[in-house]
Amino acid sequence: MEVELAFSGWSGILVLALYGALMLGVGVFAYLRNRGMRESLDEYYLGGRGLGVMVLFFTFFATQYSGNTVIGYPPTAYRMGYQYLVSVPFFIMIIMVYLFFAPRLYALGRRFSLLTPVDWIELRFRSKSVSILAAILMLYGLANYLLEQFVAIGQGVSGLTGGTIPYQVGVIFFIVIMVAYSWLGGMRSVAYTDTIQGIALLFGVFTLLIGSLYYFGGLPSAAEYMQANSPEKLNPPDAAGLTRWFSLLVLVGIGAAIYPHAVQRIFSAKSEITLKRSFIRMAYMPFLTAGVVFTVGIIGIAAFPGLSTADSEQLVGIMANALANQNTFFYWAMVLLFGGVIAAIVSTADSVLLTFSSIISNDLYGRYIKPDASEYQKVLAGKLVGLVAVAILIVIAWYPPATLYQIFVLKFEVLIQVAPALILGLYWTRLNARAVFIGMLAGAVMAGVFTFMGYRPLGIYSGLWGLVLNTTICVVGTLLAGVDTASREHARKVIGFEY
Amino acid sequence: MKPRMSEPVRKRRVWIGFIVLFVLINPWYFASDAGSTLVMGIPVWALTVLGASLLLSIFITWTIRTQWQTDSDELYGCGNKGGRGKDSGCGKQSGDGGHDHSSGVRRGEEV
Repeated sequence: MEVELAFSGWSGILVLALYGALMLGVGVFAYLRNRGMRESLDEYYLGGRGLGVMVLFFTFFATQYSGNTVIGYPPTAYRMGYQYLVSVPFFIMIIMVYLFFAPRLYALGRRFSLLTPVDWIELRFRSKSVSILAAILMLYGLANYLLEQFVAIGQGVSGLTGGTIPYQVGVIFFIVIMVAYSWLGGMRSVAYTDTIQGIALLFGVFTLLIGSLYYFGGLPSAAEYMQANSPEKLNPPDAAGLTRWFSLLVLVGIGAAIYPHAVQRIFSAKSEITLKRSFIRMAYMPFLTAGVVFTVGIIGIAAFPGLSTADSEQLVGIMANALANQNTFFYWAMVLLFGGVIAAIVSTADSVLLTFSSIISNDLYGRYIKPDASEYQKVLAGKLVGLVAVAILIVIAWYPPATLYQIFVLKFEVLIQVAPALILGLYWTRLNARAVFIGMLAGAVMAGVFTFMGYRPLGIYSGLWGLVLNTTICVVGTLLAGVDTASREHARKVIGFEY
Repeated sequence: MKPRMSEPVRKRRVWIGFIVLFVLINPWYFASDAGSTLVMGIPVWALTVLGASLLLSIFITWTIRTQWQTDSDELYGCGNKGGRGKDSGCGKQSGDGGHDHSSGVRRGEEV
């Protein structure tokens, strides 16, 4: 995501400074409005379970769409042509997958006041080993996810300000602001800033699309160019491409829906209707975001032909530079676009950090280390451990280790291994806790080993192979070993509903 | 008394709808040179996939509106003391469900 933007120096700094001030202001506002907040886990981590449709929708939006959607997707569309159209349906798949577990998880969240995904796993299996393994996998995946966002913030800021603000200063500035408003207002701050960040991002991508259509020609001229020079970019995917398409739909659909910070948002909805309305809006957002940035990438094929793979990564920067040179409106619109991109990265990072802290507060410190701690102490423990994690991640972001770098790459592959416990546990009273533990561990190890070795049988991603093994062990293990009467009775009490 | 639950995962029509639409959003049913047929500069196969994607969004909307209904808000309360949005869809104020989030009581119900 290293985009050099010659057009933007001091104006970039101005927008970033204003943006930082606005975010801090939101934090102070959330703090003043809810002074009792720090005393309770519910208030700090779930916004008191009171998020309305608009805010809940944007906070879901911010967890699914990041700066990478704007900067990374157009270059991929540029290289793959229409075969990358899969980026639209895979975002819809996320909502479809939600429908297989969100209704029940929301109801259980209300009934048992669940706070984190691990909270649910603990309630369902009453197994220390399953809960701790799930917590570790989530913390590990979330930490790597956070690391990726930090690197992106640094590169984005240094790109937007034309190198005036060095990478390190950009990272520190935004992390300090992010931690400050998160500490001040918890989930409310995060959700309110997500809303502002989401609007900035939507404004940016639409301006980019309109500018591109107006100055660089529309889709017909792009198609004409492709017909003459690279007809394969117009064609549907071949057999290998179809496998890739299929596995992206499944992996992104399941993976993004069970991201711990995405699951936690289900618990923070004010009501069932609020949650439903947010999901309905989310079902159409892929057309307005992924669809728009995909079109920008396609227009780029004819407007800036012949870019190498490395050069094409700069596509959005190149297009923004060209648009900014047209007139003052587009100049500022492009400054805002890149401000919005950085905003989107920060908004993804703050959600991840909050969920990270909540798992520490509630599932490790509050459950095993000091169960009799007050809620205030639990929140504080989560905040402080979150801060230490952030400090360590900053060091890693600056001095990437030469070897074993791949242990910082695993995210999706590891997080997705919690899915069987999370989802099968919602429906299957016989599900055996030991089988869940072995499956989760084996799936995570397999996904990790396949990733390190660069092994991708049949072109299917390593995370999916791990998930297949994981689910198989859960199902076969349960069928072979069965479950004791007490566990089954407990499961019936927890997930028993009248249909 | 057990809480009531009407959910998409238990409805056959929802599964059928999702499976059919999932099959349609995978572009396996086009000839390999289908990219030469264009409408307004967009390959027809891509428009078809977009159309199927839109149908999926519409089907999701229908599923959420009609196939998902629980009584959890009535039984356990919804919103919070600060919740005052007109669109909360919650007929009752918090506390009705018997647990007060602000007092630090976490488990709504122990099992």
